[in-house]
Amino acid sequence: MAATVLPPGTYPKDIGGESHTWLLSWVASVDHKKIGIMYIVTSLVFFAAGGIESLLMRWQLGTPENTFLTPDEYNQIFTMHGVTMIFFAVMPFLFGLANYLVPLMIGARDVAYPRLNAFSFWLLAFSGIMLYYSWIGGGAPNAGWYGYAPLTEHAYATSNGDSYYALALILSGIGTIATSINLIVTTIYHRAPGMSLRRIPIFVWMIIVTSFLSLFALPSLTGDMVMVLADRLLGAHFFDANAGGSDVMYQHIFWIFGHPEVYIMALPAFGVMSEVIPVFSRKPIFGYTFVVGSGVAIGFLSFGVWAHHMFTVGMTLTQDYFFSATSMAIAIPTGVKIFTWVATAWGGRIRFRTPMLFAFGFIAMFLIGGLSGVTLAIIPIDWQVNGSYYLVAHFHYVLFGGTAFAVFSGVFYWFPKMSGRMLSERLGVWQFWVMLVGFNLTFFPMHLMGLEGMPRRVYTYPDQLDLGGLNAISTLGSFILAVSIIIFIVNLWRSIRSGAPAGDNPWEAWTLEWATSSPPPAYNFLEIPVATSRRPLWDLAHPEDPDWAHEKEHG
Amino acid sequence: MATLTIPAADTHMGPTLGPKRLGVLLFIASESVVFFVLIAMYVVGQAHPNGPTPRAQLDVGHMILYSVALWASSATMAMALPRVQRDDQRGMRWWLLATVVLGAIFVIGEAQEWWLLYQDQISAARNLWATTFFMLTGIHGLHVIIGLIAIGTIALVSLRAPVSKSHESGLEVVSLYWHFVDAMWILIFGTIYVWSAVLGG
Repeated sequence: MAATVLPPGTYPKDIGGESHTWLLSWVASVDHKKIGIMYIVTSLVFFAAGGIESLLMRWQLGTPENTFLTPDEYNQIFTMHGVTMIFFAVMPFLFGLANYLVPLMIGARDVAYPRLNAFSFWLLAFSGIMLYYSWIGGGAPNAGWYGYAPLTEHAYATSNGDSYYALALILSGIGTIATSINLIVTTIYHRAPGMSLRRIPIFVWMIIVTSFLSLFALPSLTGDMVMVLADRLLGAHFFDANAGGSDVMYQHIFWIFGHPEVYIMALPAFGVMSEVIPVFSRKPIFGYTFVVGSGVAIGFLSFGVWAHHMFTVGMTLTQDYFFSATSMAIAIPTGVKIFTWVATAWGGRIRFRTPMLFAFGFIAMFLIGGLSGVTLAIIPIDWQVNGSYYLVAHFHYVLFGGTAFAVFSGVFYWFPKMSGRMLSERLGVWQFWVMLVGFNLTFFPMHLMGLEGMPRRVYTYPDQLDLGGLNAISTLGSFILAVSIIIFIVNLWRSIRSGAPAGDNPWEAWTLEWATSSPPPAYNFLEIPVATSRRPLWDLAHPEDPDWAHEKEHG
Repeated sequence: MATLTIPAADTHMGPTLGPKRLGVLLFIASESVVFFVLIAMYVVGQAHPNGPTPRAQLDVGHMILYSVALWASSATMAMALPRVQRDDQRGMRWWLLATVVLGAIFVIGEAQEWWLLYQDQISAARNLWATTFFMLTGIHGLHVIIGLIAIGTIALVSLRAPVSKSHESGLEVVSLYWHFVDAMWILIFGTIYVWSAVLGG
């Protein structure tokens, strides 16, 4: 097998050579690794902004009948918190990670369209800036992250906030679609020799499914937002019930995007889990085919569950039953994944390093979020608790307990590859436990608040039932959560400057990103590697018992 | 890794479609969702007739001429591609010019349609039908104009740098997009014009 060899220095992709300034080498870069890191840094900045917004909300809700924020300010802050976290913190982080890792994992030198990649990132960055400009440009959006009509109609939202919201989501959506096309084409055409689709790491598979979800879900949002803009700016009547417009259509179109979106934020996290858990259990993933297949199944099913967000809208019973059934069905492939992770760890020589701690935290917290999700698929329960804090608790267990724990697991796992330095294990363990305690103190009481009838998105509440006590616990928890994030920032800051050198493969992992130096050179691999099995680096380290010798048996 | 032999099938990565054409096909698939959303809004909006209606305002006989021009431009585009393989850049340019002219005729027809409505004081703000009509035809018209710019650019650039024979050339990629835009008009024309002519509304 003749490998493709490219001597260093002849690789033209990296515009930011030594003749350029440091700033230009980043801003003008089309290197997927630099773009990936820019995505991740951008997402951390927005994560901090969204976090500060959540602390403001928790401070307001810490005591009954508090007057720290006005109702209008509160509306703007919870809207900005949701939009920021979903579109400008979680998604950029996951797509940044995908950008960084997919070419390395499949043994490629870059993505298929490097310039389109830079274009996607800058669209994302500027749409985020535009969203935040709304604070200056007359007020932030205030209709919630899903901006239900008619709250976004001009008659109800007179500031420019919701127009900024619609524009920012259109722009960032175009960026996401472009990067999804890029990632799919990269995986299909730029795999190293031997890297068949049955051998690509599960993270790459999950990114493929995520990219297809983005491809078909985001245009729905774009269409919805274009119509919102037309209503607001041209006096159109799409969602104006007085003129026969249908605000229920807004909801349908939004959730046809919105539910796949949940899996756009969850599947890459599943991918991270499927990389971290085997490496720290010292075993190959249990049931590769099942893990991939369940991910693909989730992808298809996620387009058939959207109206479970709308049980309280007043659909027909047949529609209710259909969406209840599909919503329960999607729990099955998700459950398959949980079992395969547990089975992977089962009997392994588990190394309790920080990435693995977060991975176990993910499994436990995501399980709670997943189970409360199944309760919400049961129509009578949903009628009771929809729009309450129970729902807020549910999706924070999925998105923070699930995705964010996976994100931190991934950061601790791949930071050494990206920076060449290890993050501090001591601070990492501290961060994990403080975060676990803070997270549960913040969000577990929300289940109880919701069951007692506290609606979401209210700026205050009367001092009745146990609401005062539960909210006080939740507020305390949110500040503990903030402490854990500060520990993380300190860890990042110190480790970038003076962390222990990582070496090429500090975790003794098996996928191709660990086959090159840390950080990798601009051209990734001097010699394009050959994928001998699903774990090429295992084969290299264990020539006496390579994986490919067993592939025929296990398939 | 010296001990390894890799099956020949494994070394051939990816289908023969090519990365650029696959990319534009994925883009088209994604774009079609936007059109389906807007068509759905048009159909749902028809349930609430008040004010101007398509039957009263639109003339299918008028628009069918311009529509045929648009569909014919797909045929001229299909004629342009084989010219490249035959080293006939000049012939290719003539067919591209025909494509641009036919596409421009459609845009003019669409603009005329809008102008006639505008003279009846019908804008997107008039009623729900007008809202959905202008959005659907407007978004589609925008796609046509972008396509015309792309085709015109390729024709002009080919004067200096001939279009390559590769099936991954810019012309191949743009032609896929152009056929998509034309095919979308079949759906939209059916939804707006044929529906109102056949069923009223």
